[in-house]
Amino acid sequence: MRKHLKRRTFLRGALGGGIASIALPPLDAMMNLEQTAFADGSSQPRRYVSWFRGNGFILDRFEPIGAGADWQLNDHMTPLAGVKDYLNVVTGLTNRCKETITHHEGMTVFNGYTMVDIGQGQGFFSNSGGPTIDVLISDALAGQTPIASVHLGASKAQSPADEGTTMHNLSHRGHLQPNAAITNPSAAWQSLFGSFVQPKDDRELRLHILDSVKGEVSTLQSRLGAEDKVRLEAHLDSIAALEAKLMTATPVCELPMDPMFDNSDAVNNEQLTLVNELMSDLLCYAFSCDLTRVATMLFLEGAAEPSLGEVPGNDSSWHQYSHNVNSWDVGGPFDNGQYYLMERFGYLLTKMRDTIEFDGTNLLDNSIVLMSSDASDGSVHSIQRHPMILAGAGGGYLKYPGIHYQPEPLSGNYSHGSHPGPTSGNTTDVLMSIMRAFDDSVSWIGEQPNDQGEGAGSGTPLTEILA
Amino acid sequence: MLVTAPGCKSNGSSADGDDTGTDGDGTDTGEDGGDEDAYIPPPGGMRRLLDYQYLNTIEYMFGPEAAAVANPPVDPSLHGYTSIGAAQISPALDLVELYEASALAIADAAIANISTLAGIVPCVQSSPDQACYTTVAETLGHLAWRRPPTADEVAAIVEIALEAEAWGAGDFYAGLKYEIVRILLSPDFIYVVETGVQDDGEPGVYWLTGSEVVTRLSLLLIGRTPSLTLLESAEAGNYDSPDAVETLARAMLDDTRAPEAVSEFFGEYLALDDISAKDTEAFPLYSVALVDSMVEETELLLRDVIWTQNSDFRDFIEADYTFIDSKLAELYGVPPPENDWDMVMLPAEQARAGFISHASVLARNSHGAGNSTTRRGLYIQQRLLCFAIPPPPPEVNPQLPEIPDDTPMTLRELMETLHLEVDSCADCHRHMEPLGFTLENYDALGAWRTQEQNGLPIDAVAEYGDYGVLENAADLAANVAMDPRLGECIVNNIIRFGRGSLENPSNESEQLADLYGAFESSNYRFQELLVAFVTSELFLQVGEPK
Repeated sequence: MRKHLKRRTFLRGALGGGIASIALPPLDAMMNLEQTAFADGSSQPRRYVSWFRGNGFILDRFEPIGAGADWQLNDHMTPLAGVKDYLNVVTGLTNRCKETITHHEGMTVFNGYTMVDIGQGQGFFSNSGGPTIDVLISDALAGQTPIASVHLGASKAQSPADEGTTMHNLSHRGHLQPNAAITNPSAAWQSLFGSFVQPKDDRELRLHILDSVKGEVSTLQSRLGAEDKVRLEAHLDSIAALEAKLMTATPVCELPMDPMFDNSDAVNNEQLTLVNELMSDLLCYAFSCDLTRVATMLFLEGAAEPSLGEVPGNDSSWHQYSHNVNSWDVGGPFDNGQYYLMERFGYLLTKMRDTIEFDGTNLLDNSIVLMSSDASDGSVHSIQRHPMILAGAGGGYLKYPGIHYQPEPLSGNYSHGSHPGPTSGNTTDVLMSIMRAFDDSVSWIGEQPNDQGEGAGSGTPLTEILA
Repeated sequence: MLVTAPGCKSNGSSADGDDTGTDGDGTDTGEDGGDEDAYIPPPGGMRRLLDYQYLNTIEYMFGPEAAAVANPPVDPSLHGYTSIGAAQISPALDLVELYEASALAIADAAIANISTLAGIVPCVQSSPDQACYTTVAETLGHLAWRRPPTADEVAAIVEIALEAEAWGAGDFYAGLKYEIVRILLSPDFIYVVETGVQDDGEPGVYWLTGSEVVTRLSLLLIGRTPSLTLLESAEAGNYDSPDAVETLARAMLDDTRAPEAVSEFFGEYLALDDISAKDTEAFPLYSVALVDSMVEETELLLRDVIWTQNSDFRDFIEADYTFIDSKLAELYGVPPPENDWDMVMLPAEQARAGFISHASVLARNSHGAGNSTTRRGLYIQQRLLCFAIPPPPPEVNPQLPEIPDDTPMTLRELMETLHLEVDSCADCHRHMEPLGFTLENYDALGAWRTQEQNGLPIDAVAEYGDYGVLENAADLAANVAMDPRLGECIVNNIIRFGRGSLENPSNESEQLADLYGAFESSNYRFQELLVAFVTSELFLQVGEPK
């Protein structure tokens, strides 16, 4: 059933094992489109990426050793050794989500809102309570690039533990306004670069068509209620997004080729390493061409059940390993997977470091990449000591070399498989710190506290990580 | 507006109106609700055409070549249905770009294969001149937007056509291409609006207009938007009575496209596109082609029960026959078929019965390397019986225990220790594991087995609530088939799919009870359920626009 839907998958064929990597443009081709200087005097813009991998960490092999400026990578972070100076690592903070479903609450680390609509209908259900940090940033940068943001993913596996939208999306513009991830590299290429490859230039006509349909949108708005008006506003935003692309002159940088890879392998057999490389390469291209400055990468969503077949020893569900005490030992499948996930994240960071900008800096110098998960200790779905890695110097905004901020060390009594402590502070403070790099007038992120003073919002940036 | 998901406090599988919430069983307890005046229809509003509806409509208007290049956005799902997502989730920021790319490709293919469009608007072939642009705007516009465009709208469409013709150095078809794109990019094509006309007596009730009714009906029963003839007839008031709707519904059920459209419902309801790959060392028979065959087996049984036999839908759950091709014959260990697909009796020694023992559902609810009694039980409770099982409470320790190497256990023994010994787990898991235990004779690919990979023998006899002792899968299937919640659950699900909103036991109890009753009194014939649904207030009415 729904067989005819299958034929819509691209039949372009896989190039297979790693050979489809994308060459980066030559140095002289990489200039920002406007060739302008930015407000802070730098010649390159700041970029932001949220990066997510589901089911948490093994904290005692993840949290760095030592705190402050003098810190060392713990085992699971060793894949990031080549970019260590670009890392500010924050551990020991509390994700203050007010509700617990399992997994869903972890997403609060990216927006400072407790999820809503919990339990409506059947079983696991919730929707995001407010906009995620990437959306706040792309709103702050509105109009500065032809594409407001791009949302990418690697695994197509969907968590069976959400019949709503919270966990299936890393980016939300608001309640019931998810930005779904593109998991097909060819489609990601089309979304980022396709509109700049024109056989015959009909863009003026197409802009005229877009303008022309707005009349029908207004007529509809007058007939519908408040909820649908919100959706029609989003439809107008979507028209505006295409208009912005069509109005952009073809970038002066060299455009990459369509990777011709569609990630259509069945879940469990997905080539996630390759997909991640292609997506990372495309993203670096888009950043260096200044087509967009904001992205999210949902490598693998929380509580999704695929086997990560490229990880040694992984022949069963990654989610199941997170709960299976037998898989946590050094060399066990969950341990191996921690390295694997950090290597995938490391691929993006390394690519960014190696992508040289027009002024001789690199993408990582000018970016902030936030990595986290839906839990700290995923085996018990804990959001205590919810870790966050900030990679990139943020154009001189974050400490470089980076530090390890940790209010208190992990308790000596802790072992994986329990709620870690002590925990304090508020992970949304980190979002405040990030946000101020893009808009220093922002005074609050996330939900307001309730009468008991509970809530995940914050108005106080974590200053220790700032340059 | 919705009831919060419940706990798992009820005993056994009783259908006596326990606290299972909105999807528990839906029967009216008689203690509250049940008052006709309490009926509040779900809000009116707009929902986006689903991908298959868009594709079928494109094929109808422009031909198969155009449908083959059409590529609408992916539909996000809510409450398990894209139709609910399409009514509630805001468009993504790339929505219009994706529709535009699709429309540009469609228009090229439509013109390269002009005969289909010429069947609707002959002048595109017989007299391709500027006057034809107006005819296209009026006729194709009416068909695509499911309402006649106003004079101003026609002018706006023609303006684009003329501009494009000039851009194309006077080529009529350049003008036509962008005229088609203009029509397809209108929100009036992309969104289906269902706001209705206010009832004279009840201000909170709106009756869908004639064209809204035939659109909703066509989308559900033949999977595309209505023909121009049908729209015009509806606009003339010919479908304002439930009797006329019934006549139309029965005609549509006889349409060759009806089985495919109804399979779209079962595609989402049964969710068999979620079958993930298996570990090929443990399951050398696994292939994507085998999975396709598994899904096809289920499709063929469904079609046999609903369309060929038009028989009791519960046969789908407990039939003693199935359909196999050579791959499934190998998997099931039965002789290969003489044709590509043959109907065969199930081997008695495997205790299979109906869909519940199909490889598709067994493989879907397994892990890549092994079985899951939890998932199999959850699927039956949640999807087939609408017994909502809430997420594990946060205080529950979800960790799997360490199994000592020297004392191997069966999956059942592990689950009995893990999920059924501790009350906090057992509250919910006693509704899942016993059902899964009865299916332990089928491995993660759905093949028959009598022992586990570790050599331990399988014990598939289990006991569950009112079902009592279940000897095997066939016993389970018979109990599920006879469970009154099965019919009610299918009713709830077709409502979700067909109108894009959850059923609401608080506001619609009487109407739901009527529909449950109609399904039962038709001897559970699915076609009759569809007729009863589309002629009910549940389908024909909406509330205030949302």
